[in-house]
Amino acid sequence: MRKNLIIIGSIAILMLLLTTTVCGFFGAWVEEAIEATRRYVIAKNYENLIKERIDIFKNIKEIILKNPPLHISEIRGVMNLFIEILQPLCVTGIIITGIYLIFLSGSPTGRAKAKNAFMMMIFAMALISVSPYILMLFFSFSHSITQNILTHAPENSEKYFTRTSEYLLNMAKDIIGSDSNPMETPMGVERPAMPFLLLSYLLLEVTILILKLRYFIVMVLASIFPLSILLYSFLSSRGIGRLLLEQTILWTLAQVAMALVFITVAIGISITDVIRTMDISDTIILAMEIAGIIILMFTPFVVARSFRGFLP
Amino acid sequence: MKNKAIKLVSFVAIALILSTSSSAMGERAMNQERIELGWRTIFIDIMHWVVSNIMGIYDDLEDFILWNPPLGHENISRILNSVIGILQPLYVTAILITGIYLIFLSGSIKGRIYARNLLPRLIISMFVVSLSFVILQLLFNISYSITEEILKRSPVGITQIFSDVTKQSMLLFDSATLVSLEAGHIFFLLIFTITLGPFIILALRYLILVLFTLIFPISIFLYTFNFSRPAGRIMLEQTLIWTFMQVVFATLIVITNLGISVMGLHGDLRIIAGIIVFLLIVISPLIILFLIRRFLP
Repeated sequence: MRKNLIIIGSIAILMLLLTTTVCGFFGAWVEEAIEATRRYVIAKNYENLIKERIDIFKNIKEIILKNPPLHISEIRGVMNLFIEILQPLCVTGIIITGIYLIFLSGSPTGRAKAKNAFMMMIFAMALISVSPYILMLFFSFSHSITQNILTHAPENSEKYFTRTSEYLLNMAKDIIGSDSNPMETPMGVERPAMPFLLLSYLLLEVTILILKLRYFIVMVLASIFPLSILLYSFLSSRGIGRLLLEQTILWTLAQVAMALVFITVAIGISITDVIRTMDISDTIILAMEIAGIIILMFTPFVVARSFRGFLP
Repeated sequence: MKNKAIKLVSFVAIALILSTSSSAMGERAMNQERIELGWRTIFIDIMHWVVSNIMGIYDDLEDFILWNPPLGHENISRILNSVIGILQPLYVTAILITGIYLIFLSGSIKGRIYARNLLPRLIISMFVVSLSFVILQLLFNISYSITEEILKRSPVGITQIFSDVTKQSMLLFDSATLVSLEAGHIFFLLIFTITLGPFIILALRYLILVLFTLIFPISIFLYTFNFSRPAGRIMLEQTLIWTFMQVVFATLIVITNLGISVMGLHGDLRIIAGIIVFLLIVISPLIILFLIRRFLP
């Protein structure tokens, strides 16, 4: 009995010794393998995200061409709300100015001022009533020019904006060795790939965000367009009215500038594909594509900033 | 006696377990460190491979600085011609309307003077728009020749300072990575930015110049009329600034090389001068754009 106990005890101690030794030897490797699998999953997620963004980018022309649909009841509702609020205000203003003109205007200067204001208010009320149609006309004008410009783009122009991300993604995939089993990849090699994945993702995501930002800014400015007209028609509030009207025009026309930049980048890089007066390395093409994306990102802001102050 | 023996064996067993456990823990820590060091080395190797690939672009630096949009290329000439084609009827219409106004409608003296001033301006502007290709080619040729002459003045190859800085930075990257991977990442991103930065700016200049080349006739058209002159002025000024930006880049590089040779800078000081020229190339367009504005009437 005692002998048995000693044998069992010895086996247990041996097992314990072996386990601790094994844990010591392989614990770190197992931990690293678990980490590697986790990073592999994260990298795969990034890859899927980047591929999704590349798919979105294939429709970049549609994204550039898109303007807020003013016939949709929600946007129209906001515009109508503003129109309904502003029309009585205009009418009140017209009546007060009329009363002033008929009964109270003493000095010729005051009379001239009131006459001007009277005319401006009638004009503003007319414009406010038809403001959705003015905006629709303006959007279709901008849309037509943009569409016309985009027809000059070389074939598959979108690739000049997605190739950098694809290049970085492939570089990251090469580093990770994504085709093999994550447990078999060299330890920790996934980590250096992370900055490339992040850079690749950000380049696409930020550009798409800015393209969509224009759409939303135009939507906001379109909703308050009647208010912008009203503010512009009074001398006292002309500053803010001018700013709002100018920004409406500039953010709408930013799509023309973006289309122009889009075809410029495509033509600029496609020329390097064709001419090859020098031995252009892939890295120069990479630099050009990054530059192209940067220009496209900044275009709406540059347009909105540079061409201000054109309204009287 | 037997009890004593069992106690002794148990004590030895516990001591053995404790010692193996602690040695196993030590072994584990060693292994972790070995793994960490192993993949830091792999990271260093990978990044050396990436940077050596990127450094290949230094061979094209001179050509890239000198590069201007090829006006003869069919993609550019087609669009430029179509823009001129759109503008010419507009010019003719504007000239006709101004003429009719002058002959039949000009009531006030002020209006008559404005129309009289506008008419020759329209004719000159139409003439200039027709000569867009020639004017742009002339501008590009002047800028190209000046830049080429400046680049020839460099006492050493213009890429030498760039490749030296990158190589030196890679040594720093190696040391940083061996200390901590995060530091290595930061250093690598810095090297990546510093190496690619000037090329991205050169590419930016080239693409912006292509853009302003394509809309050059529109810039002249807008510059003709009083009400659209501010927009036209901005566009024309930008065309000129971005055309001659290559002269600025060449000057920066050559002056740095001259400075290094004249002052006999070596070691770290030379590398610092190199990093400064990298940064200057990146920020010089912003400086030029802020400093040189509204020089056209």
